[in-house]
Amino acid sequence: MAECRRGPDRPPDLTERRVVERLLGELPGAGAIPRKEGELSFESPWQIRALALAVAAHDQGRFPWSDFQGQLIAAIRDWEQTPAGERGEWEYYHHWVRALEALVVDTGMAEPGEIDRRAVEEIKAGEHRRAHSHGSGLLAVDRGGG
Amino acid sequence: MTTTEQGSPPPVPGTLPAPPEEIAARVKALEAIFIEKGFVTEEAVDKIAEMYEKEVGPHRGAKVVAKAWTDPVFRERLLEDASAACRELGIGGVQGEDMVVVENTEGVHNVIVCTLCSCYPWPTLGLPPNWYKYPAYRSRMVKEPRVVLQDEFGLDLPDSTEIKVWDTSAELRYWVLPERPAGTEGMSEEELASLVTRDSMIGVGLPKQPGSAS
Repeated sequence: MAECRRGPDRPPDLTERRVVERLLGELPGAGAIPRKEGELSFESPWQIRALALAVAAHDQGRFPWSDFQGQLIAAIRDWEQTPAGERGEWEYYHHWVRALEALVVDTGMAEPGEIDRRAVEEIKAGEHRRAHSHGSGLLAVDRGGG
Repeated sequence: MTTTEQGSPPPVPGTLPAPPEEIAARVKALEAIFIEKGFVTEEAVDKIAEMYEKEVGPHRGAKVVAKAWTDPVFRERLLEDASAACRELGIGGVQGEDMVVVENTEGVHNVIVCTLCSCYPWPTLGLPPNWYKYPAYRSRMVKEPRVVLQDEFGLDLPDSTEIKVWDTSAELRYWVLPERPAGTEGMSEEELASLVTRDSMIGVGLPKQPGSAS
């Protein structure tokens, strides 16, 4: 893996929820973030990865949080301005991913089309795995000595 | 750089409905690009993600186990069709993943592994722990499960116990129904659920004993 160039050491409290909470609080639609009993709630692992990816990249100085904020505002606005029949259900983390992608392309962190290409590779890799259907079930049995 | 001068519009999920596996693939793609280019380290992403892992499990799996321990009819349904039984409790995958629950009994201990990648029954167990993805776990668990369980996880099973290793995959996600600990007869479902650990549902551990610190 490439050596990661870092600025000053990351804040010691990065891993604490309140830091994430503070960042989230600065985002549009903060009230719309899925929560259960006050805590962030997720339906799928990709939502967590997407959240962690944006926070980690910001933390390592890749972009100011206000830039991500701006992209998220734009993504949500786009959704709101699209007729109901032509857009997907409201899904907070879809906007999140879209904002992150737009930011990444705008800042030149990735070429246009690069994410698309890689996503197709990921999907193909998944299909390959399924085609080679491991998960045939019982793999090994150690019958024990007793 | 702007995205609009490049000919094609940015390939983003945008406002169009996107199937969940496509979104998941896009996030994976982003992560791969970030890590390859050194924008983030995988560890840094893991560190943040791990704070939230429990939001999608494994407390959900624990709830299912506790119900199976207290409700024999549910237990039968769970062993017969885990996906359907979990749906009864509002627990399900994005799509397509079928869950299979294998039951530990006296004399038989089950453990799951994904030999090819890191398929994992996340609807009930949350995100996989890091070690679950390591090649060493995946290959060694198949070759010498008894040794791995003992050396790496401190799980000392009687010699007479048969160990079954199950290969979990993208469509068929195995997980383990551990044995109900002795001395839990009077406990409520909620109390029982607090004894069920993630490791016990992977099969690299046992449920906590009643009275031990939770």
